[in-house]
Amino acid sequence: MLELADARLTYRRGAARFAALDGVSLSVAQGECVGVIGESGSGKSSLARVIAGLAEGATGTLRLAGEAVPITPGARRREQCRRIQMVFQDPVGSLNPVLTIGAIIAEGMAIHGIGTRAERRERVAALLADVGLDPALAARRPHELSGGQRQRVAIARALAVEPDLLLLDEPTSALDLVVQAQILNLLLALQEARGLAYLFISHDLDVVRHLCHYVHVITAGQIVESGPTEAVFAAPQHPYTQGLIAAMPGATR
Amino acid sequence: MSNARRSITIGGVIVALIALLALLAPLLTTYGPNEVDTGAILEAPSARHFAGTDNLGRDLFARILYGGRTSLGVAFGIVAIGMGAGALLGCAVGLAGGWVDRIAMRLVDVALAIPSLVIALALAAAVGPSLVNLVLILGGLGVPLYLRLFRSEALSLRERPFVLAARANGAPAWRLLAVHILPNIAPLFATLASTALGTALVAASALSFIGLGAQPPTPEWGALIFEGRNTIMYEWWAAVLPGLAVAVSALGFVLLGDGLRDWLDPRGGGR
Repeated sequence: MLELADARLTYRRGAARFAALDGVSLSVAQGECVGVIGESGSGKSSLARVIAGLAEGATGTLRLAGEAVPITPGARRREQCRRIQMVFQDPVGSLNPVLTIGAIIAEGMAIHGIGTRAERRERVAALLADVGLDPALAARRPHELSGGQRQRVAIARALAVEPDLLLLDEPTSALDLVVQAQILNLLLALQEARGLAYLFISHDLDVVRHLCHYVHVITAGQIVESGPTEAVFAAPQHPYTQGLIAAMPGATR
Repeated sequence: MSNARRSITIGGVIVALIALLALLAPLLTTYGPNEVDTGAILEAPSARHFAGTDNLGRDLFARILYGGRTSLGVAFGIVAIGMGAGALLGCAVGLAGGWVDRIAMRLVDVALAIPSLVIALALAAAVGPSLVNLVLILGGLGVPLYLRLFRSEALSLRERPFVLAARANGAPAWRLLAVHILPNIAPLFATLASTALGTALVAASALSFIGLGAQPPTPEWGALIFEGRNTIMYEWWAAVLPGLAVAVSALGFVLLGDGLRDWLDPRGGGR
């Protein structure tokens, strides 16, 4: 579904250069959840921005279902934008405070010219039900919702345009544990029902282990270890991964 | 009641009262602002003429009320042009980023390096004094100032996740601007507009006072102060009352603006 090859992103601060991504390659198949584990500053959020087409100055090649997709911001066709949707970490900042929930979810459909106004309204109600929310919430505004509800709205917004790939950038790290589990179960159920591809970016090893089939470990802008989730957790090869796993609360080894 | 709420209430009441007095002028007085009565010149305030009459026998109360329409209208015009255009261009430039932003900011630097009052005087003298020119000049001078301010606001908004989500989704620039940026600067706009109205009112009155704005016989507060200056030895109120109107209105706008700012940003420190 998604193939990213040799992604590079360099930030410049004055004369100093800092490689946020230093030749990252990965792929995600349909119906698969691929995890990217890394600490803050490892480059994992830069990776999400590059794939979403938001990183100025990024290089590399991106293919979506075999079709080349430009990596530079603004160069993508609208249809290509539709196929990759992102869910952000911050449930407060990710919803426009002046819009209603219904308008937020319908916006993507409006951008891509999907349906009439009435059809979109119907679809918003169905999507709200899909993510486990009361369709009546469509008339509310973000500040009236809890963090978990807002994150469900963000997921509904992403699903509204029927993407191929969901970019999940720490979608649960700002939520408390109970809500976190609910959102993860929702993501699992949605993936099963719709055959979506997930790229799940997180620093939370437990969550990645629970959700992902395959993981990449990223540090200093480079992938240092990759493999099927259980294999990596059972026998980490790279010292960095070994350190991460040993530092897990309740680690058995 | 907090300080912010108190400022908003007092400022709001003052502004509402002044605006009502100006709007309802025809209902509050039977005299026209330019109605000459040679049988009643330089009268002191009385039950017939609440604020007395001037040297042509015109009712000063009526002139001050109708003058409010001119002065407030001019202030609104100045802010609408200066801040309206400044906010729109600033948001567009901040959202666009890149070379558009860099060129716009260099132009703003140049514009702001020129002393604005001097330019206002020179321009007003060059194009000929009139109220419309005054509005255009004072409004235009505000544009670079507000452009820079709202540009920095747009720069921070464009990195917020909800704007990123729309950008990643291929939303066209007009949609980003109309749906995501402009509605979210509205509170800041309202706050700054209120303070700016007070400043614009004073500036416009000052330029009218020196003859670069409203021309006789148009009633306008600055022009009224100028007219009253000639007779200040016989009737001090003719100059003082319109001056008071300028001062009280400006105070109302500034109180309202300050209150709104503190209310929207309770941590203080300004924005």
